[in-house]
Amino acid sequence: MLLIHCPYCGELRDEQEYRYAGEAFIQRPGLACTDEQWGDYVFNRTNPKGKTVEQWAHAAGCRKLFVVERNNVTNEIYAVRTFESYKEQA
Amino acid sequence: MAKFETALEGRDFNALAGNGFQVSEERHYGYVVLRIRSSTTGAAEALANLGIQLPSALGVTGSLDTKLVKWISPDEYLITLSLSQKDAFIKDAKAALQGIFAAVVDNSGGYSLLKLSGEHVYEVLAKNCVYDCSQFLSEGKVVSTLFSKATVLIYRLDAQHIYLMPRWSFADYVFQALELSSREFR
Repeated sequence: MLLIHCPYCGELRDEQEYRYAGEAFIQRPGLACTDEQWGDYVFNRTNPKGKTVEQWAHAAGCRKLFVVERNNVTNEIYAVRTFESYKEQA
Repeated sequence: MAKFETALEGRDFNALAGNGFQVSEERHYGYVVLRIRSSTTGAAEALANLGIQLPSALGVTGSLDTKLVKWISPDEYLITLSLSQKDAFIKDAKAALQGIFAAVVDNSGGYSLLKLSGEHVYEVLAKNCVYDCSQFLSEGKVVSTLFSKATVLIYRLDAQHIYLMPRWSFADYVFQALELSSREFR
């Protein structure tokens, strides 16, 4: 069982309160994209072993989405960040 | 006029009461959802005119006697106030927040409010909650978490009582979970 820190609530909470919401930062292609590009956007994921950058939703808490950088082999959580913090960094 | 009923109408709260655990339903409150960011231009003045101070994360301001403002998320607050004052407040709030990026929604009847007390209250909660209420739920704190499988709001305003607020559609489920988990304390 994971304990995840919610950046909005500011507390460590149990995994049961969260929902996994898929890979983070998937770029939606433009309207002029090909069928291959659209299919890639909808279905294909990078699926790495090791460090992943994921979206999680605090479904039973503040209901906000945020980013968790996690190792999917060891379950170590490297960082939990808001989307705003990435924008500020860019 | 239609008869006023809650989602737990007819449920026998005395059947749950024991020496170390009691539950009662707080029936006469209205619930208003306020969606606003505290950083929004003009928000602070408008809210001050309404007599509302926005709490910080996991906090509450005000009291159940007047208006209790609870933090839900960075842009969402739940206001609990007397049912008789609710309509007037919504009218005032909509007028005060005119032109500001905010929403005021009446959610009265959307929730049930249960008041728990007794020396075994934390043991009953611990059977159902993933959140450690005995250690982390201090006075004046509100948390949204899971109670068994239902999403609830739990808050504490004084040393003796804990308020448990499930959605009305889960009220009966929560009541039955409380009935089961408090059995040993009767």
